[in-house]
Amino acid sequence: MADTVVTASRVISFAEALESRSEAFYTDLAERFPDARERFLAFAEDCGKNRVSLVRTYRETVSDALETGFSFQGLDLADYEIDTTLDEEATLNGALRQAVEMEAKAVAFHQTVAERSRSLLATIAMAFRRAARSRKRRKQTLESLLE
Amino acid sequence: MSILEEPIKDVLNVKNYVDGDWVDSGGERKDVVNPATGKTIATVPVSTTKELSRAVEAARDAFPLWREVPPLARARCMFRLKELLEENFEELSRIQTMEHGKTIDESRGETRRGIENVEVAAGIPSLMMGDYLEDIAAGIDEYLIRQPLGVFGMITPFNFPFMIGLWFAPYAVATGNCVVLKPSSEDPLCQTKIVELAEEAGVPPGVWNVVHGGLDVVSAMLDHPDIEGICFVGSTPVGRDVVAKRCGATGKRYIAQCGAKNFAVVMPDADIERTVASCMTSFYGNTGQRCLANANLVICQQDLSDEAYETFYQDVVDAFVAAAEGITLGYGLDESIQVGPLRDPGKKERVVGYIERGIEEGATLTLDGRDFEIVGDLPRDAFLGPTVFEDVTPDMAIAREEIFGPVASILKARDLDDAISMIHANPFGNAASIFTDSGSLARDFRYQVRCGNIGVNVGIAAPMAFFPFSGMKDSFFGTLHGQGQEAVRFFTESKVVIERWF
Repeated sequence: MADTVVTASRVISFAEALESRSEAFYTDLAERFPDARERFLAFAEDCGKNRVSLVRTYRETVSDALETGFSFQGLDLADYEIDTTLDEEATLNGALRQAVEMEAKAVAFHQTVAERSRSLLATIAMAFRRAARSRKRRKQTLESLLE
Repeated sequence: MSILEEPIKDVLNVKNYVDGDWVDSGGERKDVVNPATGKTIATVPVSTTKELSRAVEAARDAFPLWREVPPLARARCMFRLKELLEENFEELSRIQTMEHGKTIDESRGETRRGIENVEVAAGIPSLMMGDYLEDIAAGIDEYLIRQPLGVFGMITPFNFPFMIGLWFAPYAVATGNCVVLKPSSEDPLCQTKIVELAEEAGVPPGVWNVVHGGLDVVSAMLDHPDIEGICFVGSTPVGRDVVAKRCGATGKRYIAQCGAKNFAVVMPDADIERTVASCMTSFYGNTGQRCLANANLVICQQDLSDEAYETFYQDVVDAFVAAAEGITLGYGLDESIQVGPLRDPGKKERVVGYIERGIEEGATLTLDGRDFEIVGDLPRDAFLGPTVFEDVTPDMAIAREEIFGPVASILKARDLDDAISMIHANPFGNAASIFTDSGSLARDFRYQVRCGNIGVNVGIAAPMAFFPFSGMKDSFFGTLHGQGQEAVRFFTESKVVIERWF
C-alpha cells in the first residue's frame, strides 16, 4: 500500500538512508573491482557529501512555521527504493548497470523532492537540486563506462 | 512506521541550577509526563520562595563582575553556546517531543528558532553600541551608552519549551545582565539542558540560573526588589492582571506576551491549494497550542456574485476539511505523524468543552475531532483530532476566545473591510493573515489591521530572531518586545552623557 503521509522528517531520513546505502554500495564496488577502485571511492565520497549537505541544510533551515507535515503529501517513497545488494557473481558490467539503475532512481527522488520542497525554504530545494545534479552526472559517467 | 529513538530512558530527577551548582529543592515534586505515551519521564521540584531568593541573590552577586566582562567575551560565550546547541540539536529536539508532544519536525523547527536567537545575541558588540554626536554646543559632545540593569526574571510557558526562554535569556546575558528563569513545570527539561550547555559554554556561576516551580516562585519573582524586569509569556489574565500590574507597582520593566485569537482571511483570488496547505500547519500544527496559530478562517465574498461566492466558499471549505481529515495523529517521534497530542488530558478536556459550547451556540460541526484514529498503540487521553466548525459568527465563544487546540471556526465576510472589522472587534491582536493574489488588498490589510504580526500568504506570521516578536491589544503588555534589537533595548538602560573639557 502506498504510504502517502510523508513529513519533511521522513523525506530527510529517506534521503540520508539513500545516500548512506549508495556510499556503502560504491565502497563495496571499490573493493571488488580494484581496476576502478579510485573512481568508485570518489563516488562513495560524493554520496557522503550529499548526505551531510542534505541533513545540514534541513536542520539549518527547518522552522516550526513551515509546512513540514504537508509539503510532501502523496509522495510515495516506495517508488524510490534502491537495490544495493550486489550479486556475488556480478561482473563489472553488471555492477555498472545496477549502479545506473540506482542513480536513475536517486535522480528522480532528488528532483521530485526539490520540486515539492519549494513551499519550504529555497535552501532545501537547492540542496536537493544539487544532489540531483551530482547523481545525474554520475549516472552519465557510469553509462559511458558500460561496454 | 519508523519511531526515532527516545533520548530519555530513565525517569530524570530535575534539579535547580543556582550559582553554578545543581541543587535539590526542599519543595514537593511533580511528574513530567510524556503526553503521547502517558509515561513519566522526569520529576521536577516545586521550589520554595526561599530557593528563588537564593537564586536572585546569586544573580545579583554575579552581576557587577559579569557586566565588566567585555561584550566581545560575552559574545564568545554565545558563539560557544550556539555550537553546543548545534551539537545537541537532535537530542534537544527529541526531548521537546517527549516532554511536550509536538512532532519531530516541529521540535526541530523550534530548536532552530531558539538557536537563531543565540546567533543574534552573539552580535552584541554591534547591537549594544551607543551613539555619539560632537559639538552639540561649543566644545560639548553628547553620547549615549547602553548599560545592563542587573537581574531579570523569566517565566516561560509550556507550548514552546525550548524556544521561548531563548527569546530573552541570550540577550539579557549577552548585554551583561544575570537571569533567573522559571520554565513551565509541565515541560521543564529543555531549559534545564540549555543551562547545562550554557555552563559548558563558559557562562559563569550566578549569571544564568534556573529555578523550577509554580505560582509561589512567579509571585516571589514579581515582588522581589532585586529583580529589575520580568519577561513573561502566558495567558492574558495573568499577563495583564498580574504581571503588568505587579511590575507597575514594584517599578519593574516588563514584557508580557499573552493570549491570541488569530484570523486568516481568504480572498476570492487566493491560491486555494497553497492556502489550505499553509492553513493546516497554522491551524493544527503544535496541536493548535501556539499563540500564532490561526483559529478563525474568514472566507470573503468581496466582489463575487452570491452564486459565485457560494461556489468559492464551498471549494475552500471542502479542500480545508479534506486536508484536515487526512491528518495523521500519533507519537511525534514517529516520522509519519503530522500532529501530536495536546500537552495533557486536562487541556484536551478544556478544548472538548469549547467544541460542546460551539454546538450549543448553533455552529455546525463539519469535522468532529473527538472522533479520531491514532497511529500506534497509545493512550487516547491527550489526543484530539482536527475539528472544523462552519456557520460561526463573531460573537460565539469559539470565535471570540482562545481555545488553544486544534479547532477551526469558519466565518463568512462580505468584503475585506467586514473581515477587518471582525478582527478589530476581537480583544486580541497577536497575528492575522491574508491569502490573496492582490498586492493592493494585501497592503490594505497590512496597513489597517491592529495586530502585531501580519502574514501575507503565510499561515504563521512568526518573526525571525532579528525582528521583534510583536503583539497588540490583549495579546501584549509592555513597550518593548522580545527578540532582536528591541530585546537589547529592553535589557539595557540608555544613559546619555553630555561632556565638556575645560
